[in-house]
Amino acid sequence: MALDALFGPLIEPAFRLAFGLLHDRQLAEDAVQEAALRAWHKLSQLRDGAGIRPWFFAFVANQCRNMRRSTWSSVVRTDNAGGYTHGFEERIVAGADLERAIKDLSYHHRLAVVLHFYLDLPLDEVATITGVPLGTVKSRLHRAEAQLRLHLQVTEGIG
Amino acid sequence: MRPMTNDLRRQIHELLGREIPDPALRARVIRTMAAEPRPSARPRWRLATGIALAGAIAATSVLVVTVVRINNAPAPPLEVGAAIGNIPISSPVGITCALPVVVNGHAATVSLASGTVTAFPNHDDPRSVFPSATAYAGGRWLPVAPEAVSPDARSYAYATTTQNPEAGHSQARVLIRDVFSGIDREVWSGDGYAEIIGWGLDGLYFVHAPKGFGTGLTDVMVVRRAGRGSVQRVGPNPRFPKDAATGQLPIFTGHDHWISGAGVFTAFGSRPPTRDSNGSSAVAIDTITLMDLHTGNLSTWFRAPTGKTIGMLGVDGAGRPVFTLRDVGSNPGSGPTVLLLTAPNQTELIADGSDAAFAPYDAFADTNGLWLSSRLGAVWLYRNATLTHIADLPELLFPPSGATAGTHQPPLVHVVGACR
Repeated sequence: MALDALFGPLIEPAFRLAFGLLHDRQLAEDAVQEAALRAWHKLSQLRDGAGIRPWFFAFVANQCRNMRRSTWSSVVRTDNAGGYTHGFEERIVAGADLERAIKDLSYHHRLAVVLHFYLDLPLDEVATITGVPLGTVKSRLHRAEAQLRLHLQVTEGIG
Repeated sequence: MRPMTNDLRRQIHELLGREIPDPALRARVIRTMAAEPRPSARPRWRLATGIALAGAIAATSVLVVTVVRINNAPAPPLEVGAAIGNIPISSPVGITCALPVVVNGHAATVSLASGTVTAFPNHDDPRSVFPSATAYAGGRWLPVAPEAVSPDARSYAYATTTQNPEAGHSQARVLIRDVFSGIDREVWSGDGYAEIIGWGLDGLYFVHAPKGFGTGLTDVMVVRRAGRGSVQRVGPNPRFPKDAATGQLPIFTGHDHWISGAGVFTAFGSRPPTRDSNGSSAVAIDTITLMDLHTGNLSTWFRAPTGKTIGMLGVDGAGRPVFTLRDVGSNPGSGPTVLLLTAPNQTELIADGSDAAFAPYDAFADTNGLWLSSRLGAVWLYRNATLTHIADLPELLFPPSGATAGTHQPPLVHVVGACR
């Protein structure tokens, strides 16, 4: 039960983080599962007094980053086998909406947006998870918000 | 905070917030972690090394004796529980057995004759994480899912994964533990990940995902009883099966799968992800496929209508899939339609979704019928084409523990063994 007590409450927000980064439900679940395994093996590296949430979320974010790479590389293999991934990408391209705007953000900007605007984490925790100074987090959020704001204005103008 | 920022936050919440994880994800993740060896504290490595060295010497000393005695290891004593209360039972006539359940993480049996609830202490085994990985077989509680227990209940299988970040890969192992002696026997190892499917006609079946679940192809493997435990790939054949409609690969991706006689059923999403009005995308599980365990050939048994999603519950005593069918995006706990797949594209209705109190979570078949456990703290029995509510398992007897304490949700019930 200790394992569940330690990691259990983090699974759902970890999934939300992974889904926010990957926009794919199955990949997000896989990312959480693999990140949990990695975190479990590295548990001894969790410093006394350090929060487990930012520590674990860093594993999830890193796993998502790695899976994005492997996913995109696997697209070629899947397409060769007749997979649907190509069609999915076309759907993404066709949808000029907030989701696409978030997808268009760089990984670092998207991570900051998901952590702060979606998971509502405070800036200092976002800095801990991303491993950058607080000022860098603010800078990334500022730039990401500016990019998304442009999209929102366009959307509102159309709507 | 600026209005624009708040508006952005609101829109992002609306975009992403509707996507909730599979209710079983938490249990699945914890179960996978629990199947791993306990990590040791790094600062203690010198001490650990010394202990390991001493342990190795000691183990070597006793190994010869152990090996000699393993085949004659006496059965460990059966566990004894304590009665914690009585509950009303509405059992069909003639069923007077004790049903093993795990409720809110508590292992217990429920006497269908008297209504007596007997609780058992949770295991201290690091692999035992209630309620996600518990089976009751041969009079013992075992720290794995029921399908991982061998038919004679003398052993169970489990898989582990060892990460090697420096080498950039992971190493999977499949082991069989002798219940009586407690000794593990490694039957297979390889790169990537492995997941136990269950025991079938020819031996133990498992899924091997060389590059990780969801990131590449998967193979179904068998550890054969005959041939001194040789391991062979079973399927799928062809290895790049192409679905006629979408081209999606009906691979085994760590989703649910069940052994059924000479085949193994799996459910997966064959169609491209769909997006709802809020822009969220999701892959609906829409296809049930049977893999022939002799040839590895795949055949589609059921394809859900567009807009519907499948939730596999298990298989009945005849090895036929039992599953829920509900609208994509609907609440899985709100009385779904429940079907029994009797043959390709032929279903038998178990529940039509009109009873909101019937919210099945998983299924377990034994000689009494098909036990369906509920998200709403109840156990039902499907028998002779009739669905019967057997009992409610009150939160009072099974208080939430750990992280779920204080949530005041109906107890989550799992039937984890045959009613005997």
